[in-house]
Amino acid sequence: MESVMGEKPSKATLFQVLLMVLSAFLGIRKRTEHEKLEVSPLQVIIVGVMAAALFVLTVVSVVQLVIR
Amino acid sequence: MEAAHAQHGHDDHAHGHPTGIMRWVKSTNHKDIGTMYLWFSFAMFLVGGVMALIIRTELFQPGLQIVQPDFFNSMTTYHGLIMVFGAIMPAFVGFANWLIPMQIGAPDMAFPRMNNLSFWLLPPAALLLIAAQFMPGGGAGVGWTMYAPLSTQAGPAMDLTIFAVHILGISSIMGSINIITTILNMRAPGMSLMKMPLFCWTWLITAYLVVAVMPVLAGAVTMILTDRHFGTHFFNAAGGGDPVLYQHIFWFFGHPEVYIIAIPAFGVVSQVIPAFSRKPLFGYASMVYATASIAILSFMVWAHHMYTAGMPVEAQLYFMYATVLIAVPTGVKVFNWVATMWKGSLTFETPMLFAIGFLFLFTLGGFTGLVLSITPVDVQLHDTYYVVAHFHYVMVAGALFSAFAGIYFWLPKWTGKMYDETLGKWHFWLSLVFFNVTFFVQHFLGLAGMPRRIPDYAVQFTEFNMISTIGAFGFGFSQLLFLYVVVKCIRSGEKAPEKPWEGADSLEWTHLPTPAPWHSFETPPVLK
Repeated sequence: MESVMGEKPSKATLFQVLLMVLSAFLGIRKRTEHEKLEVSPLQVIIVGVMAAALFVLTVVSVVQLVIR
Repeated sequence: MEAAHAQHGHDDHAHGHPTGIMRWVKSTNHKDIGTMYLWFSFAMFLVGGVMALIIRTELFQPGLQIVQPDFFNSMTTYHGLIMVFGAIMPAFVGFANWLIPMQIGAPDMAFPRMNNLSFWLLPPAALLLIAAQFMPGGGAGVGWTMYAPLSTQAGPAMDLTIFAVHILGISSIMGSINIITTILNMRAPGMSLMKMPLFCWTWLITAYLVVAVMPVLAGAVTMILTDRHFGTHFFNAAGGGDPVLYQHIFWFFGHPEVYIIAIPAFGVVSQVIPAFSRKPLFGYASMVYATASIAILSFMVWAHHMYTAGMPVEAQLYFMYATVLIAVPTGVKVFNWVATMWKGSLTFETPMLFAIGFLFLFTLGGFTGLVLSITPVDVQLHDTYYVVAHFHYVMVAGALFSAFAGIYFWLPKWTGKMYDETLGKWHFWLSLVFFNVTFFVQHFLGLAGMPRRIPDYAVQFTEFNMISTIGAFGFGFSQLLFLYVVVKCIRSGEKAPEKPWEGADSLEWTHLPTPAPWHSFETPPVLK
């Protein structure tokens, strides 16, 4: 659906998708970095949900650390 | 079908659609439906505004002068419900209808008939909310949050309110499905997602939020309904239920709802600021990512609205930390807007003034939000006027100012005529000044301990309340000036140039004539 035109971007590895989702959490991303990669929505959703769970777990463990 | 389109070519007043009132009743045209959404939301804005003025009139002095407490409670309730569900949300759906097909190079929305139904569900819902005032016992004075057990015990007006919320929710969900499908399937060849104007991106993300959380609200109010009439005990402690459960469910909807309102506003501002800075938006990709991130985080912070409801200290800390972290992507967005203006060739027409007003005052509302996210502070400030001041900075100076910016910005494209720039600027300055007169003082009232949703108050709060009421009337009457400016533009405005804003670069400005033709893109535009 995405790559209708232009040169074919390379398929993203798991690490690259993770990096992408994490930069989304921070809200900082270069446009050129985005356009180099081909990412499927499924990849983003799976990694995104996992990263969100990780985020919650991190905050919860920080809370546990503070409470103790 | 294709052949018929080709023959009629660029005929503005194309083929055999109904005229007169039936043009609007049966409309499947995204522009007509967008127009109806915008007028409907303005009408609701006036209704909700009158309710606000009743509240402020009663609060002009301590003691009870004008209205009874029950009626006062009803006004605070329906002011909130009408402004959130009847005014702000439909206004941005109106923008979406008008702009998304034009900005992505599509002929119309994906489901034109569903689009018609989405709109026409709104007037009955609005009538239900207004009719609730005339039920036995008057309107339900339960607050816009409809907390149990108040809402399970309220009079018959509550049932009308529940039904209205259901209908409004169905309308929003259908509108969102339409927007998602349009954006994902109907973009012109070459219009990749990352080439879309940011307004389309913000609406795509918002639409997912709507689809995710409106059913949660519908579930919550349905549980109230069954508790009221069908013998269930979801929120009744005596029957094994839990009233705090309602608060959790409501705010699991309610916090994303804040972003459902704010994110399209971000989108409008992200179109206006680059146009009047004559620079592309700084950090476009960052903006997309920050918006998605805000949307995801908005699901994880709901209980910061209920620190005083009783929860373990671990939960308080979790929600405090998570809430504070939302400031990061929001800060990125504010930074990007400022960086867009930096060294730009700025001019300050009315849309830009409202966009800068948004930027300044929304940031202030964001900061007071951070103050409130700190649990021990919130325990002091919960349910005081500090909270009222905070969310009006977000809702009015944020969403409403951005909607004004968008209306002035696109009015030439919509009508083919220019609005009166002088009067537009008057509208801005009057709104800005009176908004702050109304709401800035409420921070101090809240810090001093004045509770919200109470028709009476202790005498030491009198001066600031008087100032606030004067500001509210000034702000209210300034909006009549806005109505005058828009009507004057439509009836007798000067003809707008093809491209009144030289910095505007999305498809509706570069690939379509002014005013926009009846059908946007009968054949997809050719994009680089």
